[in-house]
Amino acid sequence: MSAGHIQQLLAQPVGWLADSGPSEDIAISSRIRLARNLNGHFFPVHASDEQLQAVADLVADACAGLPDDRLEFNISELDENDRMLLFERRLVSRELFKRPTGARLLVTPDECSSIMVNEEDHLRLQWLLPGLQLEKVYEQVNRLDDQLAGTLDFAFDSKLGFLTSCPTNLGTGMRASVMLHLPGLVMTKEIGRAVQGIAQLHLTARGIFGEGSDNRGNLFQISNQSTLGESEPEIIGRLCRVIAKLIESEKFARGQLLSASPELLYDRVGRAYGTLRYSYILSGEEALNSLSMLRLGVDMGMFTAVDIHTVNDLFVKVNPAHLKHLANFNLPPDAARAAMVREILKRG
Amino acid sequence: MLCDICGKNEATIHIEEITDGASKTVHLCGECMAKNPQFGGLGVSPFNLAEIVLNLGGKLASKMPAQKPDGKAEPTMKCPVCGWTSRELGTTGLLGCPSCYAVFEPALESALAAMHRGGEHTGKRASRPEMSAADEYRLQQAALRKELDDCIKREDYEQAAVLRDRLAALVPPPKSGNADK
Repeated sequence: MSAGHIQQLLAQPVGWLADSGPSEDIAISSRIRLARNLNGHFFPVHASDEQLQAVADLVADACAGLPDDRLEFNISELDENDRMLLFERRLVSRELFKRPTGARLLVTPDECSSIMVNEEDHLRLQWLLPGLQLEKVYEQVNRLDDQLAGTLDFAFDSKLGFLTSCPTNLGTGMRASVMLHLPGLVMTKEIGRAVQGIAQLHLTARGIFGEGSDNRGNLFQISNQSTLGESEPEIIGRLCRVIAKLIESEKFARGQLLSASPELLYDRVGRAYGTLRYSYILSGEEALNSLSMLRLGVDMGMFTAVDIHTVNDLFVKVNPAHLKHLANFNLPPDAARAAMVREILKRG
Repeated sequence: MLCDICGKNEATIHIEEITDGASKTVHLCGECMAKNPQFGGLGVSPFNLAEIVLNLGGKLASKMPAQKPDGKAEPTMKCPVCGWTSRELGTTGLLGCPSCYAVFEPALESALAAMHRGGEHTGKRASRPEMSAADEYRLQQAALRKELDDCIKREDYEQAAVLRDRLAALVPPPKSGNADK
């Protein structure tokens, strides 16, 4: 069942990367996740296999009543590569893989809405849309939360809010984040100051795939750190104001780079395209960094031969688990990656 | 375990990096993580949640006397519902069940203040209102009655007797003239 669903996901582009969204030249996607737990059940870290299974069954029943169809993945039925494939598509976290039983993913076919069951909390509701549109994302995920609260009894305390396994998520249980492409700030070496400013505002900046990953591809995820003491709209408002400033700074930095030395910028973009389009050995890091430069060229109108959504799609496909599914098995990974990217860019 | 970079401080942050399918775990102290952008610290980390949470053990210990007057070690705090202990909270940074908050909240107070922008929830309320004792009694009674009816219908009199006894044993909440004051 789960393996068949993997093929279904691979057959189509990732919804939140394939569609257009506001400010998409710099803001790639907006995501919100809500942590929820069920009253009367131990948190997953402390639960027995039977208790984890009982929670999974309760959530499956509640999800059967949702208006949209969802693909259900039983994590224990998936091999390591398929698990990593879901991780690369930002549908699951590594924490979910720790549960021996009861770990589930329920995702809409367009991948915009997903529910992780028995991760660190009983439920992690996620909504992801392209571009910068956190208010809309919250509207959608909040509706999903209300629908599930109709049948599930969420643990809530009037003073502490939604009760979560980790106290860092207490209160709203909400983590809102925006993925930004900031090559201009990196090249002008302004990124350090920008990140320092973000940290002072109780927000965090991380590499593309969250905790424990670096910032390859000049992709940064900006998210709220505190979840208690502010309402959801207040958190989103604060985050949006900071994101707007970052976008403004990135545009300014791009303008500076172009006016200081247009040849240098065109050269870097052109070389990145050359690497992607014509190389025969391409490491993951080189691919992501070249894709970042190509995306910059497309955003700034230097390049019209490649569509921005093709570049976005490649950001996911060059990762190891996707590569194993999509590329030629007879080649070593870096050669297979180069062959796949050449082929996709040839099509345009 | 000592930090992989400085080799002096205790490592409190453990990062698993997976590159091209190969996994490697790096053990760092907060100071070195802050200085090293390649570990997601991006060169700055003025406020490290992982450290705050993982150092809860120390905070909890400071709330309790290390030894009882008779010289025996003080037992750890324990949640009466799930059995989660302050020791487990200290090592994982996590709680065991929703009821743990009632037990550990006083000890968590300073950590919560450092993590968040306020100590009280001001956001969305759970759409299902918190149940009063009377509601809870009514719901339990209704659930047991339904189960009892089902047993009688399928002529499972042994289970029905068990349920009848459980129904009889249910304690109604004390009546108050000023309900839900």
